[in-house]
Amino acid sequence: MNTVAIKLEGIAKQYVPPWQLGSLNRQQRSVKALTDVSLMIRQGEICGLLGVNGAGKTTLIKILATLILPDQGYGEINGIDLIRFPLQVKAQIGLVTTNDRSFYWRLSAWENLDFFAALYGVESKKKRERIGELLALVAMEEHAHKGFMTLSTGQRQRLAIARALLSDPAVMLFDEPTSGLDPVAAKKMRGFVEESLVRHQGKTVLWCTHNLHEAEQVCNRVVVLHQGRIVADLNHQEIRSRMDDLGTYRFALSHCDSQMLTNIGISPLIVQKEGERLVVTFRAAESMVPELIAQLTTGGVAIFHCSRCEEGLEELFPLIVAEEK
Amino acid sequence: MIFSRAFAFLKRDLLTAWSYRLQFLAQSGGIFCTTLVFFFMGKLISPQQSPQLSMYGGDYFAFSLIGLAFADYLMISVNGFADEIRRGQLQGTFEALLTTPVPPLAILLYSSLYSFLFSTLRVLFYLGLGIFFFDMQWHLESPVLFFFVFLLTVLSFWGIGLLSAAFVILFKQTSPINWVLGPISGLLGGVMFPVQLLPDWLKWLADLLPITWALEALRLVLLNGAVFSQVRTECTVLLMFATVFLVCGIVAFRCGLRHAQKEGSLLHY
Repeated sequence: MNTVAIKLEGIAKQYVPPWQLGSLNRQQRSVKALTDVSLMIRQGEICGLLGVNGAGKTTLIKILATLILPDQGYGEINGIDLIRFPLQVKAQIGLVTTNDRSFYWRLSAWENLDFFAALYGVESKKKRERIGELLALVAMEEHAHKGFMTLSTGQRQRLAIARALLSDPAVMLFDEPTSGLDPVAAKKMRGFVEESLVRHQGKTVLWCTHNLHEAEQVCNRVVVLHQGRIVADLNHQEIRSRMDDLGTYRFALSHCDSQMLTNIGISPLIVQKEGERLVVTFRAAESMVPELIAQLTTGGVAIFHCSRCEEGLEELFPLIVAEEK
Repeated sequence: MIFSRAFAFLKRDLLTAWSYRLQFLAQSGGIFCTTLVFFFMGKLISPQQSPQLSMYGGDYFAFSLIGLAFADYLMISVNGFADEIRRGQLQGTFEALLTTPVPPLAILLYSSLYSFLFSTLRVLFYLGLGIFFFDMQWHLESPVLFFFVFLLTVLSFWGIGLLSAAFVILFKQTSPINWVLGPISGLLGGVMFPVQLLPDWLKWLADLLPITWALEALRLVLLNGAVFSQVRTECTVLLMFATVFLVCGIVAFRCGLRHAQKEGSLLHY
């Protein structure tokens, strides 16, 4: 499938704090949340939006959900302009957040879905059938008439997915959907999205997370957002190939300090003091490791231990950011 | 679509209110007690003691009951929209509502339906109690005129409510319109006593309030059997209030919403 589901061009967003007495320069206190973000996601893709807290992920999701207006740039969902036609865009998307306060706690799961179904314009005749269908899809049938407040976190999250699916949207936006879930529930949810929503229903998913392991598992493409900029846009093979080219090596050194390393012209990525020893982490090609060892020993450093680290996206993330910089 | 959405909001609020049954029943009991209080107060004040009441049929009980019942609409209009936003922001449901393909202004109107319906029931309850149990004298000549005056009243109140809602969206605080307009309308709007009792220097201030004109027209129509020609002035002023407040309210609400979307503070509280 080649149709573009989400398209963003040069999106920028800056938060200017409200005017306060005594601090006149609002511009100086402003925060750049997004800078020149361009992104294209095709139909049927599960794209991970990866970044640490404050990277701009939620701002981007809220711009896509038309809850926030960008300062600059253009965006569309299924060919509909985000800024000019927000209501039409809302009919195309389903937003799943971790905010369980977005439901009515005094109502049951069914009553909540019934209410939102009317808002999403589900026909009255089909509403009952649709709600039943969705509750079955997210395995919530037996909890349908329980009060929302009595549901567990996992059940609430599943209900949030069911709500987002009410209008059968083409694009699903997930904003850190597994935070607060235990590992088993999180795994189930990832499996459900991958298997049911994407593989069977052909939906496009933007999965926003700071959990690198999760992005690696669920997404077939990962966009890395750092300080409001997209610093990498990788598919799984690209991530893996980066891992194969370079390796991460940890050396435990004795009779050595940071100054000594600087003197012999070595600058590791990470330097940690562990008791008497200095543990340093390097990023290097395998062929360069003997040279590195020689350089250290010639400089009078005793190598106590050396090993290559196992790498997941977790380890790769700071490196991707550093390399792209 | 409009009806199914309106019904969904009504159902949501009714189910929520019903889940607090005690409060629901206490409110109904409260209405009965309030009516009783005004019934006995009405016995104290005879038409001879208060000639200002004569143009409304001379019955203080009927006068105050109508004032009380319709002042309720002012309060729910002024507070209702703003409260709905504030509650949504605090509870976290506002985001979920805004991600649905329903225009924000419509969300606001739908959300206040339950309060309006409940208020209408309360008004009917007040009047019903007054008429059937406390011998309230009333004389309605033209129900159509009553509904026309009522519509103008509600529209002008809604305009003020939208201004109040815009304030909450922008400043995340209870709107000063609420705490200024409520007491001032209670004092000067002729809710509990005729405006004619006010000194001249306060009468002009009372004339700036839509509730003054609304209550005047509603009392004349409900208690004196007034026809259109007798309340033409009140209707014209109310129409002006409704137009000005509604236009200002809608513009302010849209601007406030856009500003909050630009600032990214729509869901802040």
